[in-house]
Parts: sequence; C-alpha cells; structure tokens
Amino acid sequence: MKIAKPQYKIKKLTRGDIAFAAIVLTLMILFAASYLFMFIWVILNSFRVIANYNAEPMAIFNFEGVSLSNLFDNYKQVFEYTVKFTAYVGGKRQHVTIGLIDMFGNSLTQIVIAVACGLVFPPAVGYVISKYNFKGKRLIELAVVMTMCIPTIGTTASVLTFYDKLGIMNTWWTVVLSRSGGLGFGVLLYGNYFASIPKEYVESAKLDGAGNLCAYLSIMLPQALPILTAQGILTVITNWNDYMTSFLYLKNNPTVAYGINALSNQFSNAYPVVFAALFMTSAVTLLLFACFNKKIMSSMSAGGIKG
Amino acid sequence: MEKVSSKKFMRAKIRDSLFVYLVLLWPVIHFCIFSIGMNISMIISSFQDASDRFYGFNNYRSVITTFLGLSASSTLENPRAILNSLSILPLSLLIDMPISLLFSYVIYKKYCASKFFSVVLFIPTVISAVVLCLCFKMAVSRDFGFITQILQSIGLGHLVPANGFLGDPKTAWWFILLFSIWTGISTNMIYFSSAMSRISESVIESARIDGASDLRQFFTMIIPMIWGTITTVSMTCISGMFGWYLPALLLTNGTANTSTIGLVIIINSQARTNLNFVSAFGVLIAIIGSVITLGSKRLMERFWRDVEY
Repeated sequence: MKIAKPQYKIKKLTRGDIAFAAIVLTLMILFAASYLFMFIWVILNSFRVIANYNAEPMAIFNFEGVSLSNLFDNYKQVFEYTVKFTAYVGGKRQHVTIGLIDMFGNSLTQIVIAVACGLVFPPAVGYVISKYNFKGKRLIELAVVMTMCIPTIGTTASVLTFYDKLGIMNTWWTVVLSRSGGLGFGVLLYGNYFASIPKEYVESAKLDGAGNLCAYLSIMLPQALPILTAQGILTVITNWNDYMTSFLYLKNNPTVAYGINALSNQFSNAYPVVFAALFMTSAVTLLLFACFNKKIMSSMSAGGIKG
Repeated sequence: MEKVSSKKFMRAKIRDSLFVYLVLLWPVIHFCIFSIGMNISMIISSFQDASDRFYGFNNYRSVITTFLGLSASSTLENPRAILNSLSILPLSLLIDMPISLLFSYVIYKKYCASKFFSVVLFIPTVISAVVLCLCFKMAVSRDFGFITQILQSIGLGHLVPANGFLGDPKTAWWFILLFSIWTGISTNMIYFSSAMSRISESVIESARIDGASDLRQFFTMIIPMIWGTITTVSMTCISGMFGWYLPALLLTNGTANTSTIGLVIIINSQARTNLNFVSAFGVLIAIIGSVITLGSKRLMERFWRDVEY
C-alpha cells in the first residue's frame, strides 16, 4: 500500500463514516433488542396464569391471579412433568418414564463423557503432531483435514446400523463412541498452541528422568490450561444444548434439551409452563457464558484459529 | 562410551515412538471405523437393496429421479428438499456473513456500547437450538403468538394463513429462513471478532492517520487481513449446506414443503427406513460436497491471498 505524506492529524469521522455507523448500529440494536425481548417475554410469561395468557397473549405485564402462593406454579408443573419413551436396548423393548430431574442427570452424564473425551484425545494428538516426528505423520494430518472437510451426514444410517449390530443402541456407549474421535478441529487448535511452546521445557524435564507421558502431563498440558478451560466450557454448553444425540442414539435417556421439546408438545395449550421450562434450560448456559465470556473469547483469539 | 550413549539414544527413541503410537492408537482406530469404515459401508449399502442383494445403480437412479421430480415417492418430499438446502447457501454467504462481518467490525471499532453488544449479540450461540426454535414457534404461532397478534391488531390479520405461518406451504420455508438469519449471525461473529482482535493496532492507526475512512479501512484493510478466517467460515457454510436440518426438524418436522437434504437423511436413518436410498444420497452428497468445498477453497485462496501481518 502506498503511504501518503504523513499528516499526523487524526481525522474526525467523515459523513460517510457516520452514516455507515448509524446504519449498522441500528441493525445491531434491532438484533440485540430482539434477543433481549425474547428473554423478557419468556421470563414474564413464565409467571403468568395459563388461562390469563391464553386470553391475552400480548399482555406480558398482566399478572392477574398471580399471588405469592401460586407464583411458581408453572415451574412446579415443569418439575412434576414426566414423559414416556420407548426404546430398544439390546433387542429388548424398554419403556421409561422420565421426569425433569432424570433429564438433568442425563445431560450431566453426557457432559461428563464429552468433556472427558475432549480433554483426553484432541490435546494429546495435537501435542504428538506438533512435537514429535514419526512415520505416518502426514497421514494423520491428512485424516484430520478429511474429517473436517467431507460431509458426514450421509453416514448417519451406517453408524446407526453399526450401533444396532453392536447391540449398544440406546446405551451410553453410543455417546462415548461418538465423542471420542480424536482427529478433528481440536487437533489443529491444540497443535498450533503446543507448537508455540519451546521444546526445551520438555527436554529439560526428560533430562531429569521424566518419561514422555509424565512430561506431557506435568509440563505441556498445564501450559494449555486456558484453552482447555475454554474448550471444556464450550463442550459443556454444546452438550447441555444437544438435541440430536438423544434423538438418534439415546431415546431412553433424553437430555434436558430433548425433554423440553417433548414437554412443549404436551403443553401446547399451556405456554406459560413451556416458558418456565425454557427459562430454566437457558439460564444454565447463559450463566456459564456470563461467567466465562472473557476466557472463551480470549482463548479463541490466542489459539489462532486462522486457517 | 560412544556405544553406551547410542544405545541410550536408541532406547529413548523407541520409548518416544511407543508413546506416540499409544497416543494415536485409539484416535486412529476411531478414524478407521467411523470415517473410513462408515463411508465404505455407506458405499456398499448404496449398491444394495433392502435385503442386502446387489442392486446396481438403482438406488442412485431413484435418488436422481425422485429429486428431479420425475417420480413421486410418498415418504420423501421432493424436489423441494434440494431447492431448500441450496437456498441455505446464498442465505448464509450473502446475508448472514456480511451482517456478522459488519457487526464484528463495529464492535471492533468501539463506536458505542461495544461491550454490551459483544455480550448480547453472542446470546444465540450459547442457547440451545431447541429453546430458540420453541421461542420462535410460539412467537409466530397462530393462536397465541405475539407476531400474529400484532398483525391482527394493525389490521393485517388476513395475512396469517389458516394453519399459521409455519403450517402453510407458501410461507413456512420463508419463516425458517428468517429464523436462521435471526440466530445465524452470532456464531460467525465469534470467529470474525477474534480474528479482528488479532490485527495489530499500529496498522489500523497508520491508516487512520493517512485519512482513510472507516468504511474504506473495512474494505481495504480489515477484509484482506482476516481473509483466512472468511475463507474458513465460508467453507463451513458450504460444507454445512447439505447437513443443514435442525431448525426444519424442530420447527416443522419437514412438513409444509420445508424438508431439506439433511432432514431426509436424518429422519430416514433414525426410523431405519429407505436406508439404501439414503446411503446413495449420502454418497452423492459426500462427492458433490467435497468437490464444491475444496474447489471454492482453492478459488478463494487464489482470489485473495491471506495477508501476513
């Protein structure tokens, strides 16, 4: 770029700039307002009396009939709600009746599995690729790119029939298998990060007699703690929000997100109950986001997701 | 003496490779089963009929005839599924991406309330698609939705179809597109914002001193500097086009002409119906999808090299 004579005078905003900023800011306000309005709408309606809501859906400030004694009635209904699912486990038909507490438990189990898999496999593969030379390294890198580029949706049918044949359909093993793939985006993320850490750290630990595993666990992994935390939180959020795992593999152990959708069908004439459920579900992830917002964003930029 | 050290060196080398291969053992097995094995079994299944007999190209033929509208299949809504899936791409590349780029830039420039926007505009990424879909569904619902109520109160009630916006084949897909614009911008913004935050201040400062307007800086500096990220995001949009189904599944379950390629595959796989048809479909998508994705990656990289900074 040609650099003109330096004028050393910081220019004020031009008219074009102001127009540009005004247009974009208006649009941003519209989007932000719609998200905020959605929240207010959900929260306020979740406390309203059902009959009152059905009569006047728009009057979100109309709390007629709401008193301290029945303030949490809609929330109580969410907790008392149960749903029946039928699933085949190992060829046997299984009926389950599940309430919200069980769904919370299921979501937690899925989160624990996903976080454990995500903390074990991708960082280790990323470390090995960035710090060791070995036969077949190119192949592994190729596999990582392949996993990221080729659309996988078509294999869903094959994966499901594979699980059928193994007899693990509708068991937690499906979650373990679907989450434990180590080759993927995470490898690039951790690989880039570990590549930026000098090798001398590990070398000196090895001179002191530490083995490879020990050096990795005690020297390298702690260095990646910011990325590990951010990735861990992102995994918690995505798995808390996850609908498809229950839909495809785990009908008998549905997560909260799956259960809420089933609930909404049952209460299609009593929206305030649905609103209560929606508020509870999203409050969890919003709280996490509010607490760790900075950490997630900074590690995204530090990790250098560039290409 | 030399012998000892070389022996030691060899032993260390063996231990290194043992560690490497132990670490890679499970990921490689997993890759062989789930990426290679599943693709092979998909290809095999695409050449078989329902009772595993060789069926030639008949599955492929039925995929093509079904989606060209030449033969009607009762279980699949055609050929709208392909059209719908294809319409996701211009939506995400020409509407979602420019909007999220501009939003990220305005946040980056810190005109006003950038902290507020950088929190609120990211909300949809952390909320479950289920919650967003249910909110949207209730907002446009025929009986109790507030959008319907507003339309009625300003005298436009006749615009609301008898089955509601999401129940009418004429309007349903447009409302799903509206939904994906409403929720789609924030994921991109995470990538763009973090890419912009890595641009060094001094480069932008020098442009400012030269008197380049903000709009000009955006086109001549910011976009070239984060071109790598733009390419990556475009790639995910392109390869994600065929796999796009969740809002259609949750909002309408594919009724009212809202089916997509991804939804046809997912619903049939889950119900274990038309598995061979679905596999043939999957093979075609994998081939077409990777050719388009890699081709456009090449094109984008040639068009504009990532600027080193």
